[in-house]
Amino acid sequence: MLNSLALALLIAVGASTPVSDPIPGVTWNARHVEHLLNRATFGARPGEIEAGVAAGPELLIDRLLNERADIEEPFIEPLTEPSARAYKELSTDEQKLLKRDYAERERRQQLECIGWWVDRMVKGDDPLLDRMTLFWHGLLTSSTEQVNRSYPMVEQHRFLRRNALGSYSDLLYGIAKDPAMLLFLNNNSNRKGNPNENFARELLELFSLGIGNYTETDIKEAARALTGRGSSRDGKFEFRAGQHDGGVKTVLGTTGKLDGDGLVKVILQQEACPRYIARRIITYLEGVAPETARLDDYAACLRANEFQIKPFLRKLFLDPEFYRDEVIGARVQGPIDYMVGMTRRLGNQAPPLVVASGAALLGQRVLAPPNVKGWDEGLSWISTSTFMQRGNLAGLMLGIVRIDDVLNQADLLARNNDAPMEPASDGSMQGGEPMMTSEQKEAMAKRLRSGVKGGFAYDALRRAQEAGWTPSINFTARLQRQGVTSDAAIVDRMLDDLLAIHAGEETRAQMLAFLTNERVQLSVRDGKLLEGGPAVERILRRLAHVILSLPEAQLM
Amino acid sequence: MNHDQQGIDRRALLAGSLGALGGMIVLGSRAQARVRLSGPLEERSAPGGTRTLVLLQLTGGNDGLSMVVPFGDDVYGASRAATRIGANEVLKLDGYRGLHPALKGLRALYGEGRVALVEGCGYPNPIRSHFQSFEVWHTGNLGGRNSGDGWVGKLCDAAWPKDKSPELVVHVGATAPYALYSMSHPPLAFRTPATYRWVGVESDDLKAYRKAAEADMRKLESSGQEAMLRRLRGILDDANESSAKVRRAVGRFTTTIPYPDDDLGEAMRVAASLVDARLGSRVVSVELSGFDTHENQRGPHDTLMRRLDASLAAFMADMKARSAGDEVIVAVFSEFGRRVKENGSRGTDHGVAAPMIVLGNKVKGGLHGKHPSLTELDSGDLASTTDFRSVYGTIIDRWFGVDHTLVLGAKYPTLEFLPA
Repeated sequence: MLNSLALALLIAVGASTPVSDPIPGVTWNARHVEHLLNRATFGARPGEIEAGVAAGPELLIDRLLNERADIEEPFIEPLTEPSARAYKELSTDEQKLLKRDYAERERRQQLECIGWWVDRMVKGDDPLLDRMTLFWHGLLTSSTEQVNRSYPMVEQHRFLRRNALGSYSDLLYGIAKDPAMLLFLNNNSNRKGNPNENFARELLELFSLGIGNYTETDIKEAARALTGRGSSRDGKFEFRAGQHDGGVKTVLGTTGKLDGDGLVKVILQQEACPRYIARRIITYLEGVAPETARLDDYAACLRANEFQIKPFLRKLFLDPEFYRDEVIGARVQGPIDYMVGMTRRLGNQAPPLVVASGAALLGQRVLAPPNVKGWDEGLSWISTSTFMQRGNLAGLMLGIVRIDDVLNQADLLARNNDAPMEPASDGSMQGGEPMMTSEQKEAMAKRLRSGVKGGFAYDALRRAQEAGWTPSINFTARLQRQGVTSDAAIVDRMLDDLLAIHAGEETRAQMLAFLTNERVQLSVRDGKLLEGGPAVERILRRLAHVILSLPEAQLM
Repeated sequence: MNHDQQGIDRRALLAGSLGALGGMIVLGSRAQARVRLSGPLEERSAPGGTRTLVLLQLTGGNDGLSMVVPFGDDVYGASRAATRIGANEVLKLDGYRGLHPALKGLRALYGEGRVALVEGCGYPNPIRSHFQSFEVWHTGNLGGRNSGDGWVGKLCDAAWPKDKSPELVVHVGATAPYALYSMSHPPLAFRTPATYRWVGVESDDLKAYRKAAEADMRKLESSGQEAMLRRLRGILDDANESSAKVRRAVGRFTTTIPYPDDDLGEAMRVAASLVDARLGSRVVSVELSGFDTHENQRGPHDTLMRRLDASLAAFMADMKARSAGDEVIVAVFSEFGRRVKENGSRGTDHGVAAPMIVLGNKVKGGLHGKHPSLTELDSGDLASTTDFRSVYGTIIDRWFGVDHTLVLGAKYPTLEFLPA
């Protein structure tokens, strides 16, 4: 089964002559295609890798950069909180209802946008656009936690999306008058004579130049230039001339009656600006910061193309350095990468909000980064506990672990202190006598339950479960279609299909030992496992669960 | 090939690849280290006995002037309007300064001599970026992350180099601050102990999952991948080893003290249970966020002070009654204070010096350091009077019994908030 990208590539290949060696020193193969699709999209689906190899790098990259899907965006309205006057004529109960209705509409509008976006990532019609929108969302970032309104947040998302493969210059001019951003960094109260430096500081430090490329005085002067910019009551950009400081400022060596646009112009002229942006993009896509000479080269590329992103990305994806050993398969998947990639590979038709909730549970909430620095990428995603949670979410996505299993503390309640923590093969707990009184047990269970806050992610998962969603997965049929029969071939195929990287020999051997052991318990000969009846699908899903919980499943 | 031989081969290979890859490589998993160090090498008489430090980070830049209020200073009253806390409101410590009115528990503990306030903490050439300033606080070095591991990581290397138990350093929260960053002693981190586990459907699955942390890394195609996998296996191995221990410690912990029903209260209760269970946790890190009060500061900051006070008071009350209570101190810090003069939006912008708080049954309570002048400012900000590394240094020297120059790379004057 081919999806749209694979199909389009195959058609295109027929009409073109492959060019030899477009990337010096890189003999284009499946490993390179998978790497490119891991980083530039949200992971390859079956069929895409073969098609990408056949197409060659230039065709594949041009398609990623230039082919746009025609997609309808979600409907969005500028909700405003009911005015004090509207409340005044109502009874207390009616006021409550009105308030609740407004909050509910805000919540729904935002969830709709999140679901829509995650669905786009999973479907993968515009994968590079979605990848870069996520990048800009983490760089020119605002959080709904502070903005607290759906309309400007969704509008900011649409703005980033419109320009994600356009020009950084447009992005910077635009974000400096973006209502959600102005709300997020308190520019509404940045007034002549009473400056608020918050936005000015982050604009220079995090959005354009990086620390060390401006002084504290530059920040104070930049804040003056930004005075008067704010968000109106209905969440639109507003320039309040009366609050703007029209006096002479000196920012980064330029003196004049700078306003917001004048300030952005000065920033874009700085040598540090293309360097900062080049470093951020390369670090995001490669997983490691570039060396100085290479950074200079890419900064010059941004400058020469007036900050256009497409030529920059084309250069990067055709750069042999992008395919070097240090880079391939060595980037830790972020929660969105992990959840979206898993959903794509499993093809399990998970509701987008379930996918988004899983990512939130693992630390990455769309539209709500933890602070103005966005998300720290790389190993910081993996703690002892998020590592295990990832595996639990894989179990949920496979339909073999239930929410209550994750929250169930029976194992701790039933066993004594020193017994090993392993359930018996029938899933029951065995072993020592409980050491706690029943009141203690109850108190502990209650506390552990109440400790599971941050509820919305678990709630979304639970709602989906209660609504009867079960993942549509049939490994048995998939493998049969592929003509795979032996234990070894099944393990190879599962590892290939489920991981974004190539697993090592010992891991492969361990998975094979696991599968063989389960097959023997079923009393089926090697080569006949898929004919072993209904119990087989469960074994394959358990194998998938272990694979998706492995260290290898965290990399791309 | 038996398991032992395999282990040795793997280590030999590890050493070889480390050399080949130079400084880029990420160090190996603790599983491998434990193979080497199991048995007689385990240390019983480690520095600092069984003592614990709870590090409480106030994220966002706490307005020190609203926490320890110089109500007796006319300049304070003149510089603040919406954020001013009046002389009639403060919980007075003397004729000049008083605590924020919500810090009632802290005031009582101060009266008992269990709270040390170290005033005017900061560092030379202050940075007003949240992230860069945190790097300085987290590493104890003006070079930030470029100088290497976090200061707690360096403390572990100096004090307990051979202690490989994963519970040595614990962060209760989503992401451990860089202070805990360490190649050789990476921290545990969990937001809530309840879900700190991997759910295997069958026991075979659990076995396969655990074995995955021990898998070999030969024949991998990419060097970068090899380094990352090694690191990930170390984390998974730590998780497998600690998850049951931690959940048991928290689950079995009983207390009569009602901890606040918020994230910090929950985290402090977990900290108390780790201390009480004597799991060997030397540093437990917790966090309270929301201090970046550029706009309409008073209400939100009051709430934060109330939360801080409730959790600290509960924890200290709990520790008063426990035998392990004398074995713990709490240190409270933030990345910077805020500007003396209020901004135009009833809030405050990023500043410099602010007080730190150290609490504990064994602490020498009272005022330490020196209150910064409100008139001799450093570009509008309070100039620091006490290098925060003197506070770290004092804790390292006197609480953990380790020469702090080994951790901080330089000698800082020791303070008197802990007995020599």
